[in-house]
Amino acid sequence: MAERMHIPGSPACGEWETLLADALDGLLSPADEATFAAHMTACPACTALFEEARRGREWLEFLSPEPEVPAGLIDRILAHTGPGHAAELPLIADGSGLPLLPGAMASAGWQRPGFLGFVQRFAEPRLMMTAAMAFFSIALTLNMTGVRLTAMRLADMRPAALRSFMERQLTMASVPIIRYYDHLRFVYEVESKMRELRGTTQGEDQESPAQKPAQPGESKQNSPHKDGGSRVDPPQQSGDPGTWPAPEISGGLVETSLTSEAQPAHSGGSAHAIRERSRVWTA
Amino acid sequence: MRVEGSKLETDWSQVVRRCMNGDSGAWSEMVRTHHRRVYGLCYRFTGNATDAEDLTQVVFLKIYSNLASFDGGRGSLTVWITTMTRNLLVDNFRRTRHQRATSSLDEGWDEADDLKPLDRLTAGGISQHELVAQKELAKMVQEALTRVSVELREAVILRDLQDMDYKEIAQVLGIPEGTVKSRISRGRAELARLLERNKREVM
Repeated sequence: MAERMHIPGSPACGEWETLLADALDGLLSPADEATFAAHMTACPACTALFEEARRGREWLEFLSPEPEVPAGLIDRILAHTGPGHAAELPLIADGSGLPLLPGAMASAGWQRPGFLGFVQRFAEPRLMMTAAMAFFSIALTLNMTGVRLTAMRLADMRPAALRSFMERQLTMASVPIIRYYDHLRFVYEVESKMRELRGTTQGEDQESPAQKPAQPGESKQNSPHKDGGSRVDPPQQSGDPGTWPAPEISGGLVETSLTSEAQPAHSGGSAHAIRERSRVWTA
Repeated sequence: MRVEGSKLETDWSQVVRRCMNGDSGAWSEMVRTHHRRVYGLCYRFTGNATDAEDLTQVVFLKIYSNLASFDGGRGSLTVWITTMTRNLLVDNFRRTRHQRATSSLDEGWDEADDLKPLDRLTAGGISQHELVAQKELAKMVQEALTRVSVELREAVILRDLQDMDYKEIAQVLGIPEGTVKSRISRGRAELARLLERNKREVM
């Protein structure tokens, strides 16, 4: 923007600019006058600003007649301000988007000086929007945590009641997590068993193809020794090996059918034992 | 207006006190004396008669409910009223920024068939000088003035249209006198640029 170039770039221009208003008024002291003129001859940007400011002031002379005040403005002002007027006058609504103007009655609390400003500030749409959003999010949170405001009693606000409520909520939230952990653990166990089985059968095929395949139960027991201990043992082999039925090896697909009983010790708190039967297919 | 204000300046503290004591005559005297000035400031700032009228009413409501905070020792009543008017104008300007942004977009759309003041003057084909009506020009200057940035606009209006001195303007705006002076100069220059750019577009 070439037109903006003259906005003070140097301290000299800034100083000159503060003299400009007085210079146009013709009120500069002789010393300032000299400084002013000297800078202007050296700085074309300031010369341009001088001309523009002078012309701007001339343009403004077209606005010197005071704008015509609309008829009845005084009456409208006096109608809702001033002593004795405020009390009996209704609120006026204007179409300009300005808030309603309550009469300035000194006695009523909500009409006290300062209150109007507060209301106007608060009535701003974005503030109202924020308040609404806050309300909805709080309502939603309460709803999701199972708090029913209609069913609330004062007794529910006792610390002990709050504590027991929170404990109940925590237990309810933790049960599914524990159950999920149990399931995951079970899957891992099955997975590691499968890997072990496959490793065993492959190892046997390579090492002793002529030999008759060992009993599945035995091969499982022997597997850690067969591959020379290079494989890391599964973290915890739980469950009785006897509960694992013999795997039927058909092509690359190993089908396992097992029944296990989740022990209370594993579920870490879930009181009832879960009895499940699942079929796992691995390729 | 300012001469009138200073002539009555000694009375104003008492008038204000009478207003606070419930003297409706004192209040209507105050409204009568100052409403032109307040309306003028609102009109020059917004460039819109309806807005100016609504804002003037709000200003007087605010003045009435804040009468107790007027301190004659800290400045004249004119400065006090002007300060309140200016603050309300700036608040209103900020509050309606969004509306203005959308309405100025609308203006952009129908600019094509709505001739600018200078276009209207030259459209007839007769010598421009013969037709330059004071009113048309004033309208054009007013329109340009509302496009001058707010902090420059308020300084220019207070100085060139409300005839306040630099010290009073500094009080109203709460900035040093030096800043007032440079804002006035820059505001005038911006106005000239806006008007002359308009003219160049037309020629």
